[in-house]
Amino acid sequence: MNKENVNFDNGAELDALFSQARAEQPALSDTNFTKVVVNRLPTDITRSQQRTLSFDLIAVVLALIGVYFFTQPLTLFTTLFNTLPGSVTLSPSVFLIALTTSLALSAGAWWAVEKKG
Amino acid sequence: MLKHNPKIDSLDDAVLVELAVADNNQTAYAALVERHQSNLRYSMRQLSNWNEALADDLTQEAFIQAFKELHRFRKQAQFSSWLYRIGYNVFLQHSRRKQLKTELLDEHQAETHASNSSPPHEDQLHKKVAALLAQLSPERRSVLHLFLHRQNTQKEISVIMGIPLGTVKTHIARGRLELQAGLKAWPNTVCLNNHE
Repeated sequence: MNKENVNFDNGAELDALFSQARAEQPALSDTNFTKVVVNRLPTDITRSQQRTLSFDLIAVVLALIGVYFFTQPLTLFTTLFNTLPGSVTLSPSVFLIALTTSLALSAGAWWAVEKKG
Repeated sequence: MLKHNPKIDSLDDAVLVELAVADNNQTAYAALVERHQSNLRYSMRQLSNWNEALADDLTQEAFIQAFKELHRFRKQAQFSSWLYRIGYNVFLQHSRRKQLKTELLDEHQAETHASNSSPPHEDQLHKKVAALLAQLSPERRSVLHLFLHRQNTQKEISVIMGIPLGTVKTHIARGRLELQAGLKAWPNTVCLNNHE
């Protein structure tokens, strides 16, 4: 039996302990673990995401084509521009509404990216 | 039954990721799992106070999440670091979900699982290190594991864990002090069995 005595007095001993643990790290590979992981993998996850993305892109392109042919883009832009208010008074209620809207949009974006994706 | 494919096994991580994403190639992903499971399982054991069953569950979850997020992996990054970050997040989510009082619960679980695991003398050193790390908060525990065990630089840890460099430095400075204090509280001399 070969025993190594280690005194833990300062930082060097801490490093020595971790160094020894690193040197003696066990190999924990086993085929069964890999098999369990592979069996639990969702099927077609990547493909379905790509398909969803493709549908989104097609929808956007079709919408843009529709807007181009069935409306007058310049008129639409002018109309949209005219709807913007000339000035904004930042009252507490307006501030609260803006803050709430901003938070809701952020939460929605986060949910879309983190949960749905 | 998973069969080893020498061609697949010899490919780089980045190529295997590409294959797994483009062709939904599970054999390629199985090769990644085979290649990286040992390190991640060990890290999860260190983070979970050597709770082997919990660590393996978290590792499996990490690999499954990694598979779902594989298209987000950037070739410039190291797959092992990217995978560790996912594993750490899985561990953190678990800790928060269970509202773990990590030290106490982990200790209890470690004792529970110790009986049906590998012979105690083989893991004694690693269990002691894990028990020492269990004194720290989950984030600090992970930083110290990366710094002292995996020997990542402070900057690498900052990137892997997605936290500011200053926070990493603080964790290392305070974590080391906490670990040293923890060591002093132990018996003065600890016998580490190398070979029996």
